Amino acid sequence: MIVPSSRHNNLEPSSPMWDVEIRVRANPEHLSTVRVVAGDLAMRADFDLDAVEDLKLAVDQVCSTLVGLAVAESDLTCRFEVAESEIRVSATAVSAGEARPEDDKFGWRVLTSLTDSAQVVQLGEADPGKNGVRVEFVKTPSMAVNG
Amino acid sequence: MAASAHQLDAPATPLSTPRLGHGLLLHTRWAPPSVAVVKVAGEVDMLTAPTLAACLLAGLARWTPRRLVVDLRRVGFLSVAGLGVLIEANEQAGARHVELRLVADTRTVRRALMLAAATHPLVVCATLAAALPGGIARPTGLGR
Repeated sequence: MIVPSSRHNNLEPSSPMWDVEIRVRANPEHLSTVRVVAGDLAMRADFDLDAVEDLKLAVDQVCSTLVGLAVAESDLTCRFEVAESEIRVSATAVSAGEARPEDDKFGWRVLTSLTDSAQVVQLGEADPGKNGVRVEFVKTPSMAVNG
Repeated sequence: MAASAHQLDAPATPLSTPRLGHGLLLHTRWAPPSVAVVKVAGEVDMLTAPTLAACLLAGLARWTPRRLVVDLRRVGFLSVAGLGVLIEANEQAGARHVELRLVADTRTVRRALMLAAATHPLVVCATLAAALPGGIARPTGLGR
């Protein structure tokens, strides 16, 4: 008997076909690298061209916001789970204060209009005075911007 | 070409600090009688947006053009930070009675500009000719 692959065995609605994780110093200099990775994954996942641009914009916005909150010399981790019908993105950094990404109103509005769902997860205190903060969102291959 | 009274210190040379800031290239020129054109090449993100902001805001204050054209056709990526700069420049221009015109013909930039269209009245043209006086500009009706 042929055993189905673990992917098809998985009961989750859309289990990842592959994962990519990129970790960079939380500096603006590295945003371009993260965008390139996001764009490449979306192209290979057959996203339509507008959706590729939307994903790059959304990833850049999330990572820019986290870079702005991050403490010096810390890392930004961006994880992509590419599934058949969506890309799930999760970006994590260590922030100094209690500032949250939604505090940037225009940026957050743009993010929610670019993605299918977006949320902030507070990870609690990593070290005294330092809080892990994560932003997660899901992007599907084609969706009109709600501009 | 006759010198314009507006030609003081500006157009031929970039006003703002670095000509090349983290890969962002800004080229400014004067189109007589009263139009300043800023040609932007590169990626406008969190890193480079301040360079663009400095150029546009200084340009508005010092060149006193009637119209400021920002040519984004060579921009490979326009971030939310970049949108913020353009929105701010548009507001400053409005306060000074300067017409701001954006030129964009790539998917990536027009896609980003669409995000601002709902709340901010940016005027986007598909060609440079349309952005110059006499051209026909459409308020952000950025068709798809």
